[in-house]
Amino acid sequence: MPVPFQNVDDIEELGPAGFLKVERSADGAMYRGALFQINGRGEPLEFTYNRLEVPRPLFWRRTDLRRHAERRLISSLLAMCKCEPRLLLCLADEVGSALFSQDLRMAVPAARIGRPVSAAARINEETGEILEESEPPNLSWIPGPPPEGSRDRRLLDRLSRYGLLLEPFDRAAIGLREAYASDSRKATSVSSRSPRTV
Amino acid sequence: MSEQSLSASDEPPVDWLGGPAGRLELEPQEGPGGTVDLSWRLLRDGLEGPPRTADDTPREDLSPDRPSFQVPLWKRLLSLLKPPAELLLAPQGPIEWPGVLFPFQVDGIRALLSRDALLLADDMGLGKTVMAIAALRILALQRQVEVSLIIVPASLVGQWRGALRAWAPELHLSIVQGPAPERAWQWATPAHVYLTSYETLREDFTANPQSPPRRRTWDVVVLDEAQKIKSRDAEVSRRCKQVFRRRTWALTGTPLENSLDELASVLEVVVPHLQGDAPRRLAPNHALLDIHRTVQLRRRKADVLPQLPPKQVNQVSLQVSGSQRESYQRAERDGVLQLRQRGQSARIENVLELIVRLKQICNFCPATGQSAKLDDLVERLETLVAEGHRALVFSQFTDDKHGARAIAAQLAGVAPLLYTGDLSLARREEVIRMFKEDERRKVLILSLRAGGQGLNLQEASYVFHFDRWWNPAVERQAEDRSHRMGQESPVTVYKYVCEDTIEQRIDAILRSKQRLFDQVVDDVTIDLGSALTHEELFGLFSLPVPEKLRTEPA
Repeated sequence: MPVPFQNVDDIEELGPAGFLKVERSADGAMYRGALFQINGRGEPLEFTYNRLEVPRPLFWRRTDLRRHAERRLISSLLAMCKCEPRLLLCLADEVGSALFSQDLRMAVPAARIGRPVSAAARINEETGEILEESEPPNLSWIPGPPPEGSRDRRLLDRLSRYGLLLEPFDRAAIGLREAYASDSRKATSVSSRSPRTV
Repeated sequence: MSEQSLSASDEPPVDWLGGPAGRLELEPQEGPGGTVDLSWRLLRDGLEGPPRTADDTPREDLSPDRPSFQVPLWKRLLSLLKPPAELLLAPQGPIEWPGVLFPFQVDGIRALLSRDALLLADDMGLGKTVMAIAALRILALQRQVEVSLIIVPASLVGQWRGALRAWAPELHLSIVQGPAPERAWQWATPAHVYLTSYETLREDFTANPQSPPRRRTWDVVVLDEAQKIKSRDAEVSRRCKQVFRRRTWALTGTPLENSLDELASVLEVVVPHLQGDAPRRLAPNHALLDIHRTVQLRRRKADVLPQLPPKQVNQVSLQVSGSQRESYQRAERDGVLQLRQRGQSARIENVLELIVRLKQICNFCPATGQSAKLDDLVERLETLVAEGHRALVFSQFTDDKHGARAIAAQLAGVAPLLYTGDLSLARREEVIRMFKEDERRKVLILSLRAGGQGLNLQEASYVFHFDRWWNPAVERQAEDRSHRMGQESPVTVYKYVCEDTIEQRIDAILRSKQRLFDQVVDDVTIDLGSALTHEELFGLFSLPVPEKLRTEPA
């Protein structure tokens, strides 16, 4: 009689991790973003992308504009996606600390990753963690890091172990570039349009 | 940093710029035999895309300003979002590799990945098989290939099977060999990789367009020992070249430049060949050498010397067939019967005698002289000699039926030298001197006892154990004739094991007891009778240990 067992590192059982990539234009007027979800082997599961423009930036505080645009953009990505990530990761130099602490309430652990050369400012609501054996040392978690032994922690450890904490952001950037490649080939008409419900 | 929440009335307006906004979803599907299918299925392509077709696949953009050759966005994203090869090849990457890939091997894999036609012509022993399998695995994981065909000499099917299982375990493999009805079923079995021999392909690739290897376009076709198709007029050459394929990887260690005809024949297959294409035809002239330079990647051992370990040991698993298999089975059956008949009077010596007899048959069929080991040895030596290398061949037997003399007789074409214990001292010294001083002498065959110690034979960089002594210390001692101070090349060792024979069973037991041998590494006096317990020895033939032997020490 076969003995039932469960492989604790079963990729499918660990679930997907979501990588939020946000890019904004130099003048802060245009934002585009992607939610790239992968499994524990780095295999892509879903790629969701969108973009928006914030007109007349001069009349608003830059920080407010950025915060608002990020919230609208990332909300649209989260609303569009079908896979449910077990972890949500973004880069600290792309996404402000208020997104997960004040503007969006996440049901899954979300972290902003500080790249190795720059430490990320952390607010009181965020809990810091330094991963010993991974390249990016700083993760700022909301509401808190995955507990030891949990499935989410195993997923995080696997991503960290196999160099998949920062690399997926590169692929997301490539995907965004490709999705909006026509921007560089033809001028986009920037006129007032009624917002679309996504 | 403290930030205030913005109320809805304070929020700046945003414009959702005209498309695309979208979602690309990829779902691994259940594949053959419970494996994960490596083909992705596009489920959605954006919320504001073109109208969907009835089968739910996205219709391509037909706007007039879109170039007709443009690849749809979803296809481009599928390609760009896959894990990059660098990540998959990294030792700490998400794929686990059973061994360390040397930098030159990673370069070779990159070359295979990036080109749709490559002649990989590295020296023997540098890992062409591993490089090809690793590249196949990466392409499959990246969803760039779905089905591949590997064509090898019949004697290497077992070796490739083992290598595929070790280096690409998630690829579902179908081995096509045996009687025709079985092969028909094997071709029809869903798989990622089909492994077959040149001989089988020649038989199964018929004039019928629906013959299994002919009816599909293979994503990758790998030809091992590609010099097998150096004769353009041979049927196997013609048929290999007609196989429809998107990529061709040809592996060979044999330099081909010396014969333009042979080079032309091999290069004719190193090119994609799709339905509707005319098979490539090359004239055997000097323009061929330019093509050769373009498609070939060749590294000599000397080129990658700093990366190689001083000694590499490879086990070569061979299938015994035909008259040799019949002789073996008959001898084992009769021997086991005799042991049973002895009953309680059976002794360890009886078991060891049977083992020796079976080992001899694993070397050569007593009736016909057929030898799977010799067939493989001949092929490898042809390549080595052509590359300018020299080899030592060890056997524990010296006779002219199963041992060193039999090997020497069959290798007459390379004029080997023979060194056995029954030679006079003067003759032995002369043999060694000839091997060391005459570079035309490429192969030296030695009996293990006589030639396994004390000699300096650094001129050879390849060592073959024709049969196993099963004491690592003894085998190491023999290898050290070559692998010693003064050796300038890495030494490559090949150990032969015949599958489904006593050799394989003993090897499995000894592997599991490797720790024991590590502890007695210097003791060359331990033999098989000492290495295995009574239970293990009798157990090799599924026999119980006689009662009186259970009380005796092993």
